[in-house]
Amino acid sequence: MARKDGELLQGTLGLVIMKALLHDEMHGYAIARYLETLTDDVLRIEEGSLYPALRRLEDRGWVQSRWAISDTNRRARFYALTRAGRQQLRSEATTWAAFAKAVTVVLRAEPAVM
Amino acid sequence: MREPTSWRRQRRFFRPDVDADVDDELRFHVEQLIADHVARGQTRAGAERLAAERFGSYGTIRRALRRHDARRLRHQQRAETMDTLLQDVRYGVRKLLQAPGFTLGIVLVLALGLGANTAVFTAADAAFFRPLPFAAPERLVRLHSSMLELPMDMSRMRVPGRPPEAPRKSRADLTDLLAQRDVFAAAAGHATGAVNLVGGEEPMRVAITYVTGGFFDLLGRRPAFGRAIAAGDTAPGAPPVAILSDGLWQRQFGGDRRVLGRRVLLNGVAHEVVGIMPRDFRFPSTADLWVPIAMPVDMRYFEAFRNYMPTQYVARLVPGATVAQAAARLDAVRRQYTPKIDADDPSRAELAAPLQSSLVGARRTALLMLVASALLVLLLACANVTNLLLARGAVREREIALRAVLGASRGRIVRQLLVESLLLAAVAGVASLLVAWVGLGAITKVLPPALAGIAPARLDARTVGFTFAVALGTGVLFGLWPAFGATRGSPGEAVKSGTAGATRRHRGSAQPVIVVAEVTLATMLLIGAGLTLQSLRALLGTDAGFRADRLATAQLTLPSSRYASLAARTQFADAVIARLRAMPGVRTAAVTTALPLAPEGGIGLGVRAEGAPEDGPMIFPRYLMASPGYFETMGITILRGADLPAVADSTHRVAVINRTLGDSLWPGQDALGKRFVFGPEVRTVIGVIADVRLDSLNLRPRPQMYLPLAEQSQHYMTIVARTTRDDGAVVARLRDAVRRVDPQQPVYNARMMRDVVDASVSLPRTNATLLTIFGVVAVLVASVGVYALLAFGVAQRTRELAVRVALGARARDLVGLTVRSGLALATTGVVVGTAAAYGLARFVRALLYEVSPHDPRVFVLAPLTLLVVALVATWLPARQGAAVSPMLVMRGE
Repeated sequence: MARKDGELLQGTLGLVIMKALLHDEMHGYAIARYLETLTDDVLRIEEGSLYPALRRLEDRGWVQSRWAISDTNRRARFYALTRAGRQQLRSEATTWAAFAKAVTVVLRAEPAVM
Repeated sequence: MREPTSWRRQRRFFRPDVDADVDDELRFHVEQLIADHVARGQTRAGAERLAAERFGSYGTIRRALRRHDARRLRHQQRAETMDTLLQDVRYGVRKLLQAPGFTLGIVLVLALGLGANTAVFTAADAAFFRPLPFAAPERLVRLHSSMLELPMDMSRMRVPGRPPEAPRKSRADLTDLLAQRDVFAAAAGHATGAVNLVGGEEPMRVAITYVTGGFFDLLGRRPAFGRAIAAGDTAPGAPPVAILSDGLWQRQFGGDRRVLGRRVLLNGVAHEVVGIMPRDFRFPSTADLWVPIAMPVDMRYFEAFRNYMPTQYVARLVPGATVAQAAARLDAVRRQYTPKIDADDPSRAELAAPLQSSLVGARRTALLMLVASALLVLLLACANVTNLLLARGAVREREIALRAVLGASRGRIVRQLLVESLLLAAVAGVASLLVAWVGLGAITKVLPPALAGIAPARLDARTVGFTFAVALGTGVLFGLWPAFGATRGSPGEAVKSGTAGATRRHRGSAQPVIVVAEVTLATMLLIGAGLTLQSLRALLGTDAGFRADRLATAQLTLPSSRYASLAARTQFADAVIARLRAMPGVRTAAVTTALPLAPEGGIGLGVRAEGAPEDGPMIFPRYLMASPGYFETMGITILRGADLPAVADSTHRVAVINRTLGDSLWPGQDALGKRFVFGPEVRTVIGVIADVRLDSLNLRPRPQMYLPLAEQSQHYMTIVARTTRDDGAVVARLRDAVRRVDPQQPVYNARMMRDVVDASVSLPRTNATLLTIFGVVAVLVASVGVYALLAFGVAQRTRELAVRVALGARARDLVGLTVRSGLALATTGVVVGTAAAYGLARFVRALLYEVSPHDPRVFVLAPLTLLVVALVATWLPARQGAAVSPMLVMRGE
């Protein structure tokens, strides 16, 4: 569940990271920037959470990393989604959607708060 | 994105650098942050500050990431190692199966060497190293028995013709020892004799050990069932009790606990069975049962023994006392009675010895020689295997080089070769357990009990662990060297050159040295075996003074309850002899008190020639009683005079003496008709016989004297009968004859005389057998080594030999080449081995009988044999070398 200052719970952090990687492989900074830009700075990922999250995803085999040269000509670690990761992303996204829908239903029930 | 070519990638190829990677990643992130801020208009310093703020606790993050990555790396490496190990094992197994003869040969050689070692070490362990199954065995000492005695009850002893002796203590006895409480916490005496047992499954003769009261407590062992000695058992007049050994309990009482409380007859006297000792308690090693006796000792116990009660003494030292202190104390005690010590008496140092070492005693040399030989054989086996692996390494050069070129690191290849060696070692280890099991069974069956130790030698977890440790150790040992050797040099060359070894001349220098070492060791072992074989031959060829063929023997003891009088016993003996003589298949028969070469105690009283001064030197002959016809039956030559008479004449005492006694009493004179003093009587010599080796084949005969059986027919008798046939069935006749005279009389030790002779040489025979086996194995292994080296040498030099043939060399020349190099190796090894054996031989002088440790026959024959065998081993490779055809070789390139 998103919180005011942009912090995310572990599970959802992994979810959005994987989504970010769906299109292309990126290094850690690019992932953070992508999410900030996309959500207009609502989701601001702390570096202290980003990299451990990436490690966790790697441990589970949903993401793999490799070293390469960035377009600024520096050595950086690039992360990419694995096939298993793609499947995981799909299933987690479905779960999240169902969850969000359910929460919305509760919040909209009388007396409604949103 | 392009693949980087920076030098850091090269470095990282060896091992992932976790810390640096984490730093790089985080630093990149920070740089990007700063760059972005700068792009939005911040100053560099401002951007850095913002980035630092934003990033938060850099150090914590870095640490966490590093830890995580390091852990992941370790897991990966571990999995990789397991993977590669499995790969290596599979590869190794495949390679080994591809060369089945080679693999089998190595496993066999190793299994033999390892198995022999395990068997010998286990036996040595039981005899030497394993602590005795007693409480605090390191504080137990054996005291020299000649310096002590048990206090005797002399009230009933009478010597005919003399007034009863007033008890006078002339020597130290056990009570004196027990008084030394500051050195000896406890002391006990034990004496092993033999009695007739009735009450078990059948009447039989058993070994009985009389013990003084503190015996079992001193050793710290309790019975498995029932009780040991209670205080009441050693009170004067107490009812007799007996404690059974586990062996006797199983054999004669079927392991039934209900025997406790029952009574059995020992020599006709009822004893109540009160306890049964555990299976691993065998002290003394021959005891069938133990009977406590009161001190002073009643003379009736003498029935179990021949002439005296051979008592041994053990004591437990108080904590802190040393063996030297015990010896000193015993010395002081004995000096109280005899201030002057004879030269013959034991010195102070010999008075006390730790129990464990005293039990092994003189057999130590023999056992150590066995251990040394087994070690040599193992060394030989390892050397051989190393050599074979080295040679195989040469053949596999191509394969190894290919792997190296394809990217395998040297460490990886070495590891894989090592895995192969360990596989071989493991398989050989398992096979060697089988060899050890068989070998141990053979050893313990063949070893005399003293050598086997008082705890049974068997394979247990310790020995199995030891075997595997040695196996793995040797695997690493003989695996490392060839593994390193095979990976030396540059692989590219080997692949290019096409022939194996054309450029590797330098590596060949190790293999010949190993082979020479093998031949040396084999020579030494063969010489050792030869010496002991010669010794055994000399021993068996000794003229024992009697004829051992077609001679049946048996022993029995007449219980005093039924044969109290001399007349009854004499009648029994005469009846048995008469029956035997009447039997078909029996030529003559006689009765005596002891057999030659059967280990029975017995000392004589002193004799001196009539007319010699009374306080002059006395001679102590062995004396036996015999019926007339004894000498004829035994095949002992009567040199002068006549046989013993059938009846005893109390007015005219006679004796037949042997030549040694005659020469000692009347040097240079004819002993026939002379008279000598024996105890209270004077006897006339009516016959002189040739010397007989009564004690042992290797000891010179001592003075001996034979008295008429009728004079003092004893309870214990040995029947001898010269038969027409030489098979064991005739001993049944002796049992028959006894049974017809007295059906209740048990007969024991019924066997042919030649079995008695064989038993007396069991120790030297065992030594010789085992050493010969070792020697033969060593020769075989060494010859395999020679063959392998030459065979591979020929294989390597195929090209060179082909060239020689092309240049006009004949088959004979090629054969000569190989044979010459083989002979050079063998000769060097044999010469060094012979020299080494020559130098070391004097250490085994004690084991040899009438054979010089530098016996020329052995020192010529053994090396020659080895040379001949080596020559044969060079034959096959030589022929192969001669069959080299240049065309084939060229085509094979």
